[in-house]
Amino acid sequence: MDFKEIESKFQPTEDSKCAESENGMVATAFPDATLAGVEMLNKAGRKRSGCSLCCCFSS
Amino acid sequence: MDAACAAALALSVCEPQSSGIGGQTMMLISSGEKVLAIDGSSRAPSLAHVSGIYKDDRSYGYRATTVPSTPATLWYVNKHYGQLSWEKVLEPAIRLAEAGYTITPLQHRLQKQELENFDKVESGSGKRYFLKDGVPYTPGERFYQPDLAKMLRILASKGIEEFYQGTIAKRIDADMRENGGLLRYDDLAFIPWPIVRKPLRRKFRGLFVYCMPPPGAGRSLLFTLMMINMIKSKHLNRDEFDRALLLVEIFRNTLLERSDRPFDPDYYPQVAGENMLKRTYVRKCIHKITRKTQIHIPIRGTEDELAGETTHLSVIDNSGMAVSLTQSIEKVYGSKAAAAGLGFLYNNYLSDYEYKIFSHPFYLRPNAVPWATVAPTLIFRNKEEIWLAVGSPGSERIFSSIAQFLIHVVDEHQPIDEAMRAPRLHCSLGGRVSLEAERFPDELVTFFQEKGYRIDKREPFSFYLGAIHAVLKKHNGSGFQGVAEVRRDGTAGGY
Repeated sequence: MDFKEIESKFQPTEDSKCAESENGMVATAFPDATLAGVEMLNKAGRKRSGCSLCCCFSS
Repeated sequence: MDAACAAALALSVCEPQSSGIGGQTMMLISSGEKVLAIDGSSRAPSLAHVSGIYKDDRSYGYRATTVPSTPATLWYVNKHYGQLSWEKVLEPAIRLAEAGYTITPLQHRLQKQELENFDKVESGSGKRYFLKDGVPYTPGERFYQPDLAKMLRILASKGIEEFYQGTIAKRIDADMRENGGLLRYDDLAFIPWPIVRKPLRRKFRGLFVYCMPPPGAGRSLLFTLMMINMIKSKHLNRDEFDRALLLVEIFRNTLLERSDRPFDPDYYPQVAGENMLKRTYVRKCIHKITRKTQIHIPIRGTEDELAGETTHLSVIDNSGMAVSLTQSIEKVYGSKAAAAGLGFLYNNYLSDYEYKIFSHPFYLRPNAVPWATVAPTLIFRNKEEIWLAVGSPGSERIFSSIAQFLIHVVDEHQPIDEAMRAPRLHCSLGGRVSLEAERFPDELVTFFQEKGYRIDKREPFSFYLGAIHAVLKKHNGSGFQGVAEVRRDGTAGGY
């Protein structure tokens, strides 16, 4: 299977039906629900970074 | 996990036609180490005996509902696999219920379509909550749900026990008694906790496909993919008409297998659930079809063409967590009856049980689970690396929509946006071919007609033919790609 071919032809759209991101992705059947998911990805991501920072400091 | 929970709860508010607090939720979760299937089936109430349920009771009104399991399921996965608190993941849903959201043209159309059915509920509760003075909301109007917001606030502050054993349970009990419903406080008090099951796994063109085991319908998708896997992709793509005929016969064969091999993992004795996924058996089935692509299942109108609606969401984050979640209240706007003072719709899952064959694993009996068509799916490049989270709503069209999407991506190397937009078709067991007619050549419709199939012409980008919501974790380079079905209202987004 040619993963490169499949992934490289992807076209994000302005209406957010098709989107790309760097840190995580949510796809749902309603824009507000997608936003709710993204909000949590953000919060959980920050919490994880916070935890790893704590670990760095404690070690 | 938190993103999936928050999005699922938000969908319960802003996509009430497809799922809600009164429904059920199933999902596949990958933590990066292992994949789990979360079976959040609802349960039949104690008073739901076959002798007491008339045919009309199964589709509309208070008597059609099972014990809602979505709140218990989402709470459970948040508690066990989430990082954020239950209050935090409920915040967006509460906000949406209070501040309202904008009614879409699709929601307006569905409200119009269901007007007559809303009227079938004597109390008019669903109509009162979800229509505007008895008529559909106009696209662009704001829709507020203050009662639902209040209830969600109670869930956030007092916890899930309030829904099943506290004041909310008491209000549901009173509402049911007043309106002739079957659900009682005692049914809720059992709490329909989800069951963590081992997902089904099969290979498709070298990829590892994980799918929902029974009572979900992952077997249907895997059976279809296994049959396709046994045909070389260059043969599958040789002739458009032969390929369409092959697909249609594969779909019918899958639906036949499903109806012939009902399997409830908690009900004994039964034929082993995975028999239909044995390679030797699948090979026999595909040989029967491809020996000479012919129609070997009689074409006739049957009652096998299931109607129902659902919603699906997919999430992958950069920690490697992936969720593929499908939830529903069964039909569009469920039972059309809403919980008084609580603002959510009861489901009509009592239509998804067997009512005639006593020995059938999904024969209606107290505490039994309904027979689901959902197939949330996770696909790995190898045993460890997640590549795709995908799923679709659409009742018995779920497996055929996902299968077509995967054929476009895996066999034709289409990007997921193109594969999601591609024209779709489906065929019922009874031989009714539903297709986005204008997007296929006229000759194909004639071809099917001449073979004897019944034709069901649907509009381009039809709501009826499933809705792919998929997230891909890039293998080449870093980052993610997401698609939300153009046939519905959704979006994809990340950070």
